[in-house]
Amino acid sequence: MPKKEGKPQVEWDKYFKRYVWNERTTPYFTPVDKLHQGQANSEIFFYCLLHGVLFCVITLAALRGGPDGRSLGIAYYSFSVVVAAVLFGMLKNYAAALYMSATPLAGILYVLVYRVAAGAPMVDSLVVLGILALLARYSFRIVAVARGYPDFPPAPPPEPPTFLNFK
Amino acid sequence: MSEETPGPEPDQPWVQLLDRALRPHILAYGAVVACVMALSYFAPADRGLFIPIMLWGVLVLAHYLTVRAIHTDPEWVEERSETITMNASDLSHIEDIRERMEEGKSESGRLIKKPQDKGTD
Repeated sequence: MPKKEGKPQVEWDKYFKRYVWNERTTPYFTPVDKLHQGQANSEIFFYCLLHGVLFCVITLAALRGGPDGRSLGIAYYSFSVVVAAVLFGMLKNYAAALYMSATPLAGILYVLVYRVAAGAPMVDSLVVLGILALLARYSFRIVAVARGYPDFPPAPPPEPPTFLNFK
Repeated sequence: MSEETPGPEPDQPWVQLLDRALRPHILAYGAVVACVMALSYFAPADRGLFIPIMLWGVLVLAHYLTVRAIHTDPEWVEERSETITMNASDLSHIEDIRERMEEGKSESGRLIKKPQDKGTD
């Protein structure tokens, strides 16, 4: 077999589509009405995983006592979000999706009441508010996904594995 | 597959008990949580009853999911198992298991050589 000259060509776009970003598992730029259930499952799974882990941590932090002291109210709310994440992830429950979609608003309220009003550094608060605003924007999409989920077409069967066809 | 999906029968006593107890369970849990939150607002405690409430919440969730699982539509189960089968990477293995189940062979039956294989030795 003759040796190829020059540096080996790495097809970055192929690996990027396979391992980092592809329309099956990360369909964030696909319109909601064009999703199928496999794509919706991936999106809902990641959303619930993110919320579940984040709000588990917030529950523990609220119980142990954060910068504002211990807060049972925050602990109860965070635990209820974890329960909603389980329900939404397993049953694709629309009410659970609605409840979870309110978490960015709750976060914005918390920052405005306990951070901005208490004189915390403005730049930090603005960064957190910006992230929460993006999450609030994404909540509209996830609610639309939850509402349309029963009507989405089933996922097509996956392509045959390509690792056997490497050249 | 003509056989029904195995599972708890809805007319079994413990299934009926689980089913009937779900709504009172959720209502009782909600009422107790509301009372405890009101109590902790007027008489703040260190951690209050949060840990027992959380554990009870996990039980309520498990109760709800169990009842949902008992009342799963058999057609949905059939569609779901078909989808998983079609999406499986090792479809031939699953087809093999299905054939052996239809023939009534056990898992160890795969090791037994078929009569036509003996002739090749």
